Amino acid sequence: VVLTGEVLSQLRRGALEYCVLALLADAERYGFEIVRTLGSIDGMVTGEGTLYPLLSRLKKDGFVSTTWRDSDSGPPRKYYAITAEGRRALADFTTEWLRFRDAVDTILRGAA
Amino acid sequence: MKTMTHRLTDDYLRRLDRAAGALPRQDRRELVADIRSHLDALLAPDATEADVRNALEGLGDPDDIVRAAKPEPKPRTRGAHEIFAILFILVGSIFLPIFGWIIGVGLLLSSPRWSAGQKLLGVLVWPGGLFPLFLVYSGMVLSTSTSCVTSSAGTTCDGDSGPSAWLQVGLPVVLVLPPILVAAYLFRAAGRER
Repeated sequence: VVLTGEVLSQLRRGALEYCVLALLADAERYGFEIVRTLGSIDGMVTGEGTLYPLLSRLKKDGFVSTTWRDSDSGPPRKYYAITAEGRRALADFTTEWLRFRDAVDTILRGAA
Repeated sequence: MKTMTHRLTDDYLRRLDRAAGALPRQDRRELVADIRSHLDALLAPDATEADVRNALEGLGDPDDIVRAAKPEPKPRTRGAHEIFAILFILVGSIFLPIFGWIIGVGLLLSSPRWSAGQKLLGVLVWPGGLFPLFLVYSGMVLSTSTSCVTSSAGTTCDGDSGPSAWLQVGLPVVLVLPPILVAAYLFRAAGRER
């Protein structure tokens, strides 16, 4: 049971940053929006707070860029946008993920 | 009620800031600011204590957030351990006959950077590293000098009793090349990500 939890958390952690990139693929969004969207999907995030360090890491890696924009209500918001490098990484991951998913599914179906 | 919600969020942010103490200053400040603006966006000014508690629970434990901010541990790369293993196996026996090689093998086997097959290769190809060459070479020098007879007519050397030209050149090459190649291979293998 411990092993399953460990494997799942590693898997989730690895896939999560590409889910963020996918969310940004067609529009820039501000941090709160990203976090709430991913947080509302069951089984996606364990603690919403951990997404902010992930966003910082994506920025450091050059996969997203940030811009401050004024908001109609309240203080300015930090918006995240995907970069060209981020798009490449997302495309590569998507290809590999689909292959990996199909391979695992094939084996699991055989075992069930 | 208002003071209570403030007390809870302030307390949470203070715990987060303390937990983030080990992060680079810039990262720490950004993280706390991000979480603060998340709470600002999530909680209306008239939020109840229950709202605040739900918001904080949704964010998760400050320690977990900080753990996510730490760089993932890099896979251990080739270090002093691996370099000494190769050096001791290769030339250790010249300084510490046999023992030098044994130390090298110990280091080789205890390193997490090599697979079982690579370790086997390292052990098999070197029964003593370059030490055999060292022995053979000093033996050759010795046998060459004793095969020469010095008399009043001058020095005459018996060409047949000394090592042949092939042995003089070929043997060192055969003895030196495999260990050097394996050492280079192990050196590269230890530096690769596993």
